[in-house]
Amino acid sequence: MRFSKLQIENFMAIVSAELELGPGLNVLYGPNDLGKSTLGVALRAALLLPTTSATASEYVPWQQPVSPVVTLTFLTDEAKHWRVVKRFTENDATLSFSKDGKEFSVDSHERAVDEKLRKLLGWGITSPGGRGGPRGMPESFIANALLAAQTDVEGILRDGLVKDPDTGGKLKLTEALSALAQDPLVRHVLDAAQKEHEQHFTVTGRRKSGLNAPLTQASEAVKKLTDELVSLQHTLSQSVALEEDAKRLHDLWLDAQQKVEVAEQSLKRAQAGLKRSSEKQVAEQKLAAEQQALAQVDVLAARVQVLEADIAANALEVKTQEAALQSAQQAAKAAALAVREAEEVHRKASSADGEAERAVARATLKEELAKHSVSRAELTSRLEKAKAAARVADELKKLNDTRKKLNEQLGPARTQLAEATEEAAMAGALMNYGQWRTASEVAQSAEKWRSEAKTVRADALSKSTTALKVQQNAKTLEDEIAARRETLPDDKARGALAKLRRDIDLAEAALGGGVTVVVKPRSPLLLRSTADENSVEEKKVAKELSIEADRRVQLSIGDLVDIEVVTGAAEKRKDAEHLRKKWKTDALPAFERAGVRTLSELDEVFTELSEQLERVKTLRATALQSEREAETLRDRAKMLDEKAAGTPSTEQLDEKRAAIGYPLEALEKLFAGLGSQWESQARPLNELKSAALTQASKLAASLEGDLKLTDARLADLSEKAPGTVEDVTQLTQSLETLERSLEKGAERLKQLEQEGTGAKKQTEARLEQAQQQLAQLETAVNVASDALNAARATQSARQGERDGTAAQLKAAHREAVAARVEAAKKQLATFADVEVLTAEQFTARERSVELTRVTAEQARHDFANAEGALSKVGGPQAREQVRQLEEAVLVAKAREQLIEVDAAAWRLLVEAVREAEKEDSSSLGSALAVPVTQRFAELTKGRYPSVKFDAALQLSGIEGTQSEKDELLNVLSVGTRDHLATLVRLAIALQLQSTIVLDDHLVHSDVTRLAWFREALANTAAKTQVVVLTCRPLDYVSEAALPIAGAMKDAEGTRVIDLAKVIKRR
Amino acid sequence: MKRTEDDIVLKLLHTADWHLGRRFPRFGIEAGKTLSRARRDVLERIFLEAERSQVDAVLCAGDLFDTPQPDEDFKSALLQVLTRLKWKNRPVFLLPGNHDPLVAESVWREPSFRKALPDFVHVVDQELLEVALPNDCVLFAVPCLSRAGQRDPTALIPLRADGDTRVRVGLVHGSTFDAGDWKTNFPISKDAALERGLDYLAIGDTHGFRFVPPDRKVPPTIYPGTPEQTAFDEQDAGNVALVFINRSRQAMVQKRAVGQWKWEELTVKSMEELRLLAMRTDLAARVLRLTLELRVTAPEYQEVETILGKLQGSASTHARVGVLELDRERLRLDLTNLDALSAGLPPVLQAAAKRLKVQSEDPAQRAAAERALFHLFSLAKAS
Repeated sequence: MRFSKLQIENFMAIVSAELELGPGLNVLYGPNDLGKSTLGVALRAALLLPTTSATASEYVPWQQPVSPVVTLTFLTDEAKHWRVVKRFTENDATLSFSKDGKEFSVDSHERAVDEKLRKLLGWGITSPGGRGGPRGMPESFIANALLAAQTDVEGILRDGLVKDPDTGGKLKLTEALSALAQDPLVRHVLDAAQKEHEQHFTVTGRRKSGLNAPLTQASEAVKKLTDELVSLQHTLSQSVALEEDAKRLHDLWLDAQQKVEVAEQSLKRAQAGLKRSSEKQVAEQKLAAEQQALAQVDVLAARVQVLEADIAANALEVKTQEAALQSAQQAAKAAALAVREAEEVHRKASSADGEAERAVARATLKEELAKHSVSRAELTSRLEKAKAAARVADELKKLNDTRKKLNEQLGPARTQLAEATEEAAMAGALMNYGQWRTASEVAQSAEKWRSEAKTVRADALSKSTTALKVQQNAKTLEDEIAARRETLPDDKARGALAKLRRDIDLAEAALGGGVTVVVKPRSPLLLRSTADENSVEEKKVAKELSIEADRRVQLSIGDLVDIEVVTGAAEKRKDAEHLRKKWKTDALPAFERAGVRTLSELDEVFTELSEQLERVKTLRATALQSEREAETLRDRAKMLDEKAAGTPSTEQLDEKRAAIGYPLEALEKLFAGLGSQWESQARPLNELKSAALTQASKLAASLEGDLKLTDARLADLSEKAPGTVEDVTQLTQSLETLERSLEKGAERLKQLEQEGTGAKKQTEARLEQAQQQLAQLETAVNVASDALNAARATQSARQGERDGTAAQLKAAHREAVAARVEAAKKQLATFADVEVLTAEQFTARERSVELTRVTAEQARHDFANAEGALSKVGGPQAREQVRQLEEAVLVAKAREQLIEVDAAAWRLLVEAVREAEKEDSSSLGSALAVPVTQRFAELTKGRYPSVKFDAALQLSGIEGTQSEKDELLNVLSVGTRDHLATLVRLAIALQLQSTIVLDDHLVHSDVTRLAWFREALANTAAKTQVVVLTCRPLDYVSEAALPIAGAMKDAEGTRVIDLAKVIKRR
Repeated sequence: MKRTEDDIVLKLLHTADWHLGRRFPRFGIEAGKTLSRARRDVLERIFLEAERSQVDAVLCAGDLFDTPQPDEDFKSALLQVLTRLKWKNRPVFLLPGNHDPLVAESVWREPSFRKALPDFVHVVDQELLEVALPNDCVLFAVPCLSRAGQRDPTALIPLRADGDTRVRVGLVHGSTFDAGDWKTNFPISKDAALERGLDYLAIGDTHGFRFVPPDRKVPPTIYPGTPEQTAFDEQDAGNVALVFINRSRQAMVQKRAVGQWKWEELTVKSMEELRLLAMRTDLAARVLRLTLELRVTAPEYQEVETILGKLQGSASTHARVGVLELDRERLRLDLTNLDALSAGLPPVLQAAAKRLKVQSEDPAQRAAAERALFHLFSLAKAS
């Protein structure tokens, strides 16, 4: 650092001052009290003191309270000019920077100025306001050494670096001095290590990141490999995902295939079921018919039974009537006999009285007997009737029982029928509901399919459009290629050109290479020379000119002569010439057409074209692919539409819904309970209920038929039942009594016959009576005969009916019919497992099969795609490559690590040596010791050869015994100590290459020392700026060097300034 | 059974897994190129062996290129080797493997490449190639059509029909049967040769020579392995298989070495071992992964560096080892005699050495600090 200009205003006693300083020794002289030392204070304040410091108030001139201003311009380097302006007691400071010392730009303001200044100086002064920052004028060893006020000379030596609050000063000094301090081996190690270190690190210690830095290359290698690895790992993870995907899709496909199988089997069953179910219906109808036939047969049988009973009853009636008739006839016969007897008796009586009387008695008895006979006949008839009536009553009772039973059965049967009817209706409704629901769901799916179809169509359209666009692009490109191809030679021509080029090259090669023509003119001449085709130059040749060419040299000497030197045999030359001509005629026009200049350019054009052709191919393939995809999508859309088309319409649905015929709410609950398998449950339920209904209705019908038959029979019998019924027992007894009286009468008659009497009158009366009785009996016979006839007629009618019915019954073959019913039942039982399907259900099932097929096809397609993708990625290879790259990354990282370790090693080495140096107390002391001790020896004429300074630059470090030290300190006069301090300061300034300000430091010097110091100063000033403030300029310069006219004079490499002329005092 | 030369009805050379165009990123660019070139050079020796053994046919069982679209260099290298042969009655069958499958953009479908192949070279470019070989022998070859697949390629080879007495040879590419998770790598049934009635099944994929399964020699199913090793962990690489089949349809297999490069992993644990390594003469065609696992004194450390320098070579000297990969992480500097070593050094350097020794006790700085010490002593000694 050096100062170039100092300006002062209102600073302590100085009103104003302005001086420019030279780069070397500056001797600033003036009488005491002029303000020389004030200049030193101003310099220190400008560099070190913040304007707002309390100390600044000391600078305010006591006569006039204005702010003192100091402007100092200094250089830290030849092209780094700094200007600091400080207005003390105010917060007003500016630091400006300039490269040329003319144009300054502001670098910082106020507080930042001091911070920047301290950084620039690096004198070990902490930033203003920082911890441990000084309050007044900051002090540091270097600041004191360079700018010390001369009041405390020994302070410089006493304090040393130890008290510096900031390590910067120490470091700077250490570094500056280290060059002097080093052992050559240390320097060698440090230089080498530093050199290696610089390969890796910048000056500021950051790692180098340039392209050529060793670590950059290694890191780049690692990064490149890692990037590649990451990308590959991505591929691998894709591949793994694809593998998993393919596996999953494969499973899905298998699953879908299985579903198709199941659905197809179900459909097959449904097809069989459809056939079987119609067969079942036939069987059911057959069974019903057979059962009906059987019922009819049974009705016939019942009728026959009823008739048989009827006939049996009638037979009794007939017998009774016959018996009655017989009795009547017998009675009539007896009466007729009695008439004849009466006539006989009468004839006898008419002939003889006795006889007549007896005859009368006999006739009376016979009459009595006849009467008894009649009575007996009557009784017999009555008995028969009573017996028949008892049987009828019995029958009636039985029939009534039957009827009662039938009625009892009929009640529950009717209830059952009503229930069955209700349940069958509900089961039917449930089926209808289920079908309606299924149909509705299908219809809803259809909506979805339609919308999906629409989306898919849109996709297909977009794909098609893409395909078309790509196709167009391909076409455009192709047209372009074709157009370009037009301008190019064909392959044959191109081959010929290539061959020609080769031939030319060969021919030219055959001409041989190189000719040197040396021209040695006898006298200078102007020579124009052409080497090959290219260089034409004309120059004056005085002595010798050597011209070198590959094939041909042409020389022209003025107008005198043209000389041409050509290499190679004439024939070969001719060939080459011929070929070159051919090249011009053949190749160049072709090139021009093609718009190229060289064969290789033409080749490039061809390469480019073939690349474009490849691109066309790719585009075409892309288009085709897109179109195929579009086609697939359209197929899918079509399929979806077809699927949707097969579903029922809204009207159909409404019809179905209307057909349900049952409250929907109840069905919904029921349906929900059944779940998805509703059909498999609802259908059997429905069948069960229908069968139950059929059975119940049949049972009811049969019971009702029987009841009717019974009623008919009852009515019939009731009609026949007699009004009153005589007691059979009583009648039998009466009959027995009558029989006995008849036997008595017969005996009496025998007596009478034995007696044999009669009277005519009596006989006549008796005859009349007998005749009357006969007439009565004949009437009775007629009545009985009529009754018998009627009974017989009824009987034969009944028998006729019975025979007819029985014949019908027989003809009906009940056994056969029953067998048929059984057979029909058995046949029906074979259909027990048959699922009865409606056509609609069947269609629905067909649709479901189709759907599973489509799903399976889609799954197969998806799997094929996944497998295709996987086959492109190649899992195993990707894995292998990933493994290789992982290894490569590890190796590259190890390589990088090695370089890093090496870089770190060099850094550690540099740091370690530096640190060791810093800590090495001898370094600094010996560093200063060299110049200081040398000069001290000169100064003291070798009296104290062992004086040295310690690391803290303290004088107490003088070597030797304690007594020697004491002696030395005692011996050193005040002047000598001053000089010693000055020497230290000069040494420091020299090492730091920084300005040093000396303020009347030689006051105590003798003439010899002055001379010596002058030399020392001159030597120092040759390397760095020295500013001397003195009242005795002649201690430093000769009288001739003092300025006379102006305030300043440059002489003998020294600038001398008369301060009296530049300082204005109050 | 006695075999004589006269018995032999078919002689084959079976090779696979050339992996032309394979990169070796772990060794860096130059060494990588050397190893890539080695795969090219081995082709010459393979076909020379075929010529010398007068085989009837050469079967190349897949992965001949490392990718379906190899660099031009490798295509032309193969073409160069093949076109130089001038064979007439010795067909060469090139089978696409899973690395170079017969996809649309594959080299095998490239018209210019195919056109440049000599007549006796046949690319297996159909799902199943059936071709008659001399002496009533027949070859069935099934190529890989994609990079991955779950299909057993031998499934396409027809079963031996009753009364078929021909010598039947199969040529396919696929993964080992015993591999667990490589399901998509064309798994081949281990009994494929038996099942299909083949007298020899030539396969490719695995890089070491081996019989599959190892204990069955008849009918043989063979991986010849890669003719030039590609990795450290490959056992018995660097061979081709010579196959002799006699009238009784019995095949005899001989392993012939054709590879030049040996891959070796070596851990050196003492200076003696390292010095022995330095004296070895077989390192030129060797890919050596050298692990240093030893503690050395500073002078020995210097010697280690010198030996490594010779092995690695420099700008001015040839490398002794063909390709060297060095792991020196466990190379330690013995610091017990530090004081003795630093005696005579300037105090600053002694202090620096001490400081570095302290730093070397921190595991994070150990390596750098030891190396710094090594540099310090080297520099001090050299000066």
